Amino acid sequence: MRFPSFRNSKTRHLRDKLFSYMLVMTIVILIVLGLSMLMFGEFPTTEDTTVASLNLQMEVFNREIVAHQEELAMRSTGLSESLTRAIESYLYTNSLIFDDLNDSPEHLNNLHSHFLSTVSDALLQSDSSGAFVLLDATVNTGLDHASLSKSGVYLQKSSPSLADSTLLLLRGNAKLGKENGFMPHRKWGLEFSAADFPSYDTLLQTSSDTPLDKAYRVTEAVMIPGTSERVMLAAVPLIGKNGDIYGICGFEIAETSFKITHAQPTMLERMICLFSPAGESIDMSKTFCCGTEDGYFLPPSGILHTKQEGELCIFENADNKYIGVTKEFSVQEGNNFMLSLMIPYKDYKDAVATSTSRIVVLVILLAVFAVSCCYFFSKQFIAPIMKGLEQIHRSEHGSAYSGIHEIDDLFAFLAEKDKDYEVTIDALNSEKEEMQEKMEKVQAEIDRLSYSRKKEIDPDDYENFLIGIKSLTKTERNIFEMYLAGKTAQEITETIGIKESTLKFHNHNIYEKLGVSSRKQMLRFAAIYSSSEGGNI
Amino acid sequence: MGKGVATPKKEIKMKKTALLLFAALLAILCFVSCNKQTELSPNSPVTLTMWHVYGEQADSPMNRLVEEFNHTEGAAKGIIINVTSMSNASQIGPQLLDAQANVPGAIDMPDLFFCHSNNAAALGVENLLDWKDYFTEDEMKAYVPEFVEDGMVGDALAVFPVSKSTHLLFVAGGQFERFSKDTGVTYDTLATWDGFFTAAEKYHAWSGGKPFCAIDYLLRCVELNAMSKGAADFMSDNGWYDFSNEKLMASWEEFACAIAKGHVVVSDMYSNTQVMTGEVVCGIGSSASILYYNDTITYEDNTKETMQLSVCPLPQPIDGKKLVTQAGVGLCAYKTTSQKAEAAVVFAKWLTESDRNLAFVAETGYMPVHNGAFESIGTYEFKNEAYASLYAALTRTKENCTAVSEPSIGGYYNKVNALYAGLRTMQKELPADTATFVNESIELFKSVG
Repeated sequence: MRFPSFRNSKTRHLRDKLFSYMLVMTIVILIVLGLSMLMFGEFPTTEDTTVASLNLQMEVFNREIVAHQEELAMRSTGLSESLTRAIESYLYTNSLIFDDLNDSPEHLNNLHSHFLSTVSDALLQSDSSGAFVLLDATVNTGLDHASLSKSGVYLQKSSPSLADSTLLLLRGNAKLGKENGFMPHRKWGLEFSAADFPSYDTLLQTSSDTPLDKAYRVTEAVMIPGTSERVMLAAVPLIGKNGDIYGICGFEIAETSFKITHAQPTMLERMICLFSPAGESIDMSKTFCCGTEDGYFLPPSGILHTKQEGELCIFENADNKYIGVTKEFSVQEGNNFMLSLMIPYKDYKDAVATSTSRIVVLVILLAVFAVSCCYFFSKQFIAPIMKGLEQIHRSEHGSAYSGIHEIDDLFAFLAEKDKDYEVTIDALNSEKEEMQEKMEKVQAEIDRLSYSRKKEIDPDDYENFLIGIKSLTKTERNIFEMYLAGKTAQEITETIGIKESTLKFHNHNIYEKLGVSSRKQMLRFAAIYSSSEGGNI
Repeated sequence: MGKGVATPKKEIKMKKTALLLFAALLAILCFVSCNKQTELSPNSPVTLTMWHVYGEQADSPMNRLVEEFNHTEGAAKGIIINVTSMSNASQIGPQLLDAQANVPGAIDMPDLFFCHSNNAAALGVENLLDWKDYFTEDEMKAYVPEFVEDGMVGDALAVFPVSKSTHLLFVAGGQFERFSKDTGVTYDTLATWDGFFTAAEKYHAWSGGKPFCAIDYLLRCVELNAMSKGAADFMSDNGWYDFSNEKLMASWEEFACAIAKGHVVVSDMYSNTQVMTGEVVCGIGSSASILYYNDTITYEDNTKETMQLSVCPLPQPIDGKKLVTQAGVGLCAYKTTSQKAEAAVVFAKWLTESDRNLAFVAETGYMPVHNGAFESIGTYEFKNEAYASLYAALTRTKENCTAVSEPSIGGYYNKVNALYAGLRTMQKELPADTATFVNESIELFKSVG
């Protein structure tokens, strides 16, 4: 196979030229195509695809979280209204005010009995892992830290499995719990500590005219003392008819439950979803995480610092680096969270490298393909032309057939021209022969006239003429020959660059030496001499 | 010489070059094939979901170990363990069966889980990894043989030993000291069943009718007591007990009488909660229940008392062979892919390395399964006195008693749980006549089989 040469020469092969043009055209088309695809977004970068993919995932995650929070807010307000009615009914029936519940195990236990069924029903109907009610009262105000101790009921599901409806009593009267079928949690306690409940004080200070749904708050992730389970608590206050706040109630979202419920379906191999309090950085100890439905779950620890880079956000701690997207999520005014979706930064860099190498391979393949195509098609295109030219070179075009219209036309044209040429040659040959014949006749006539003139002139004069020729100088001989060639006096002066008077001087010498009296006589002697001596003087 | 004709020197050089190229190719192939020996890659980690029973409802040392694994060995080899459920030894079996049967609402079947041998058999040993295929004989020698044997289901080692427990007596120290001061009952009294029942009777009288002890595994106490006194072959062919076995029935009556008199109770669920609420002064439960004991006892008026937990070996008959139960779940791996199997083996080996095994069991109240860990337990510094007391009791138990595995009959735990549920109902209203209660309890015992 011979590739077209690009040697630097003045003349180039037709095929080289065609190959070059085709290659340039292909490159231009590919560049224009590539630029157009880039312009119309048909050639997305890794960043574009990552952003698009994560934004779609974020949309799904956000909808799930919003729907879950709305459900919990709705159920919390319903539970609050129900419990508040029960408290007020009990206080009214027993002619009590709320403060009378302090130091009264009897009244508190009576209320708790009612709470157990209400809270357990609400818990089993909800998509949560626990439900609670805390009253702003304690069974024993005489104890140390009694102001922080809050009476109430806290039930937890024993398993994240929906198939298991067993509830455990984490806080509340153990005896009452067992009587109602709720075994004490293995880390049971009688009362709550308000210090363990981040939003307790805020909720208790809720303005009495605040609608319950506006008072709904979600805490950051907190650890229940004695357990390894972190929970987020979604709560609303218990606001009485007279505006008194009796306590709080709500639902618990356990970390395990969150992780299982919100695991995301995704094409990404490694993805972590975060639900964290809003802020510049993400404190993982206050954050809930979930992974993918395929089971991937490897959340970072410590503090993740965030930095926006274009449409993507970099998440970084001492050990790990991630990239992803974030979205603000406001439960209520002043109770803001941030949703984050992130993938290991390494995965992103790998994707960029893979994409780059794919583009490089694609470009190489296209280049090889383009060169091959240009080579093949230029060869195919040029082959009949070259063959035709070869046939023309070998003068085989008369009967040749290339199968290409233009070349066959050229063959026909050249064949026609050949015919015309032959006719012309024939005509010229005939003319030549005629001229030959005429020339022969003229020569015969000249010979005859020469012979007759020779007889008319004086032989001595002619003899002197012949002798005189030999005595001519070089210049005179030159002028003499020009006369014989038929040149005029003016032509001679111009040719040898002499004045007319000089010519006349030479003429006089020539005539004298040749023994003639005029140019006419000199030319006549010369003609006789030429015909008798074979034409040369 | 013409251009295309090779000289002998050239030929030799070409041969050498060809050989070198061949050797290089062979080396590359070897390198690639060596790398292919593992299906694990840190660049593309495999995730194994896991259910465990260590620290359900409480602070979980297993979760911390999993986190450590994920960030060290797992990160280096490309394995992520994802704990998707924490349960307990008696409930995890049915939960696994639900998951395997895709019961609506059940969590997906995990790749790794802890359960008893009979749970493994119910799941189908053919569905589980045979750990023997992945451990060399030398590696297996590092583990306590009895514990390894406990995990055999047929010919397969389906349940890999990670930790083992036994039953111990947990005593609320402060309460017991007051009782002891008034009655002369000491911890030594609790070394035998006779002494235990005497103490229970005295406590009942001393406290104004409160039960002395809540028992988590009553039936196991009955069995071991009977076996110590010579009872044998008391399991019948129908997968339950032979009620014509006189020694077994005598043992049952001994415990039933104590319940009938209100001296002891079958625990509501876990004896530790009844100790923590001050309902009883002691509880018989798994050594692992130490993880669940609060530091304080909380009474109904919210006053609190320091627990001062003291742990004693399980009481034994005065005469006869001293026996204790050998309980505890082990690690199973559900068969899925060869990559997950390899990852499971890496995790199992890492989890049961000598030092790690000791550190893990020392936090959870179990006995180690690695011989090296067992040997180091005497010099280990425990995190508090309760744990030191527990391991002192475990050491005495190991020195003085013979461990006996639990029956591994199908549906054992379902039947036992039904028996306990019935006894709990019966003990709520005790009849004046002890014999009536005993007879009714025997009828209940027979009926759940």
